Amino acid sequence: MPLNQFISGQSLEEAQYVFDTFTTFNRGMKSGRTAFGAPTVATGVGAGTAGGAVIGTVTGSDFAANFTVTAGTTPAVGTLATVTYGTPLGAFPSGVIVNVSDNAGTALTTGAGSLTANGFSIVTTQSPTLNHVYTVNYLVIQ
Amino acid sequence: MPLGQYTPGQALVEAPTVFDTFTTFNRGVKAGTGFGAPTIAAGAGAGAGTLSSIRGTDFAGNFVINVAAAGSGAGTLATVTFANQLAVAPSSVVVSASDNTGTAALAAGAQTLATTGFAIVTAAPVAVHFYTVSYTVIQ
Repeated sequence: MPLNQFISGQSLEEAQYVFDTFTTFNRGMKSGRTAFGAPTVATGVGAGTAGGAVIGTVTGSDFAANFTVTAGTTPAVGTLATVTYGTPLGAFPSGVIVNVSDNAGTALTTGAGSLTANGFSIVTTQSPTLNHVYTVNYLVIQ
Repeated sequence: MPLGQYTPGQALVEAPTVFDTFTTFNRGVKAGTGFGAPTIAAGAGAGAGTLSSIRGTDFAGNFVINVAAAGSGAGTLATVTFANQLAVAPSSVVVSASDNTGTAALAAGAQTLATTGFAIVTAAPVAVHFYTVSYTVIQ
């Protein structure tokens, strides 16, 4: 972790920890955000192949993040976006959960595909709508 | 953490802890109940829907929503208001909504991520069906 991101009073654990029983988080978990580099998000062909598809600001990290995708011309069923980790994982992830919802007020049936140590794709089984903005959330468990 | 919830033999870490490499949980992760439960409200997408079986915390939870006989549709199925406001808006909120009849899951996503909570937006649910909704929040 960059030293300028370490706040006095926090405990900084640089060793690998293995918790061998259930571990309780009373106040939840935080994404490390960009301490190890931000992921790169790119539009897929499902977001529109003829231009106009746009990725909005990515908030979060390889572990968990959200961003928006604006569908361009001729959106389709398939890969809406791809996420490439800022730092490749040591192994393929155990699980990646993704959701895609239309800011106009509905949601797309979605899943994560092509899970590798370098990233994954976000696949929808419904076609997005031209010029609609979709909010994407994901969570990666290695 | 209230002392009454601390069991001797457990390690209690009260300081914010940053794990600077991968951390392995051999038995999984629990959402603690020491800081109160969020408030769940049915959204317009559920019509005048009703809630039951609310479990969990600001970090992770689940509940059942009974969609009303009339007035439901695509949109905000429910809203979650955190019991304890976060310092910053979440990095990610992942959700799922499944029909308790076992027919199909409902496409769902989180929107309006804020320090105070979020909205669960779905495709159109079926009237008078019960949906189990789960969520996990990463700050």
